[in-house]
Amino acid sequence: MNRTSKELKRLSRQSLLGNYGLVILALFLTQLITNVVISPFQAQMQNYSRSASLAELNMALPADSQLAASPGSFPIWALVAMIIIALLATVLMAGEQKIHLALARGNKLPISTLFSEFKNRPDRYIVYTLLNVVITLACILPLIIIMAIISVNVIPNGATIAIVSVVFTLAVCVIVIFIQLRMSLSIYFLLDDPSLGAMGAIKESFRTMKGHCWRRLYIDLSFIPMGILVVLSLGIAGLWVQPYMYQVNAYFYIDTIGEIDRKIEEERRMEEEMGPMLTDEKF
Amino acid sequence: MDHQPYEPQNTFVTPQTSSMPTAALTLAIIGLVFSFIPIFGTICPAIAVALALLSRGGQMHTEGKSKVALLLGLLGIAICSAVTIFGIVYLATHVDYNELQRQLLNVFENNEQLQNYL
Repeated sequence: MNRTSKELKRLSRQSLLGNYGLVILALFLTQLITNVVISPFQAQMQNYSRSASLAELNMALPADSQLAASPGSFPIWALVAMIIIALLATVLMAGEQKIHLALARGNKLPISTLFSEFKNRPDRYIVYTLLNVVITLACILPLIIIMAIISVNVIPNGATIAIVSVVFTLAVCVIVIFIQLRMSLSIYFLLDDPSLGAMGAIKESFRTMKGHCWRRLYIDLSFIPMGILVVLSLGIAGLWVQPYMYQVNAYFYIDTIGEIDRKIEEERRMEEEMGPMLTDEKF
Repeated sequence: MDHQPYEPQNTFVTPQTSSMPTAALTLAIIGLVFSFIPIFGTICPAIAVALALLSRGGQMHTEGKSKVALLLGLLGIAICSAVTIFGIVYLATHVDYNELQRQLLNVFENNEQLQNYL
């Protein structure tokens, strides 16, 4: 247990070598399917916001030079459809993580695994995502309330407002990051145990991540240079970097639950048992 | 914590047989050629560096083609960054924006086609 970031990355690189085709295809398909399905609704929302901006602009212009703009009613159905698609995309992403988890365990699954979780109680992933959003919002809520109180001029001094805002924003960021770190293994627990519910996976993740948060944070932060490379390549390097990050996360999971150590112990025991036989064969 | 080294079961591909170092080196060379183009010049070198780093596989250090690709890629990024920074500094210090605005307005006022289009 507690393998270093370097060691986990080394293992990830080794298991990915020769399998990049599969993981890049999985990533590409996930992104493609999600974007193709969501794009008509996104376009509808963009049209509405563009028309609304033009209508706002028209108010400032004289009557003879106004631009054609009819924002109409807010496309609520497009928004609902986008939320539903985003939730379904999490099931697709779970399939992607399943491929990475299998690679970390030394197995290679077919690309059809991407859709396998739709047959395997997909509601758990949707509920998990909703719970994740609710928990994050619950953390942000005090900040929103404080900002609302500040905005009604309870604190008259400008500098005090700035300090209070910065301190509370930082505090909320720290809390949200801490909770996200503690919940980061939930998806793997859901993949490993089909009988486990969303809440059960979150609880299990919270329990398992105790004492591993700093290590996980260090691993996440160590990807910043790779992130810079992705930005410099205008996102293209992400095709390789994103699967690499997923693979490191999968290795982190199997290391944290002690699976790697169990495997080593098993291999050692097998070697001990088979040792004399192999020696006999040699002679 | 001290622990035993663990090797994943995927041992059928070694860095030597992988095509990633070759791809990284090719991209690094192409990137170096085009690294004088501001902003877009970093695309190929950045991909080359990422591929070179990932092609190490189970090794901790880059070797051979990967090492060359890594160095050339970093050089490409450095050249492109220098060109971009120089460009920004030049635009900020050597261009008279008031004059540029006047010239653009002149072009706009003298061009009926452009006025009709807008």
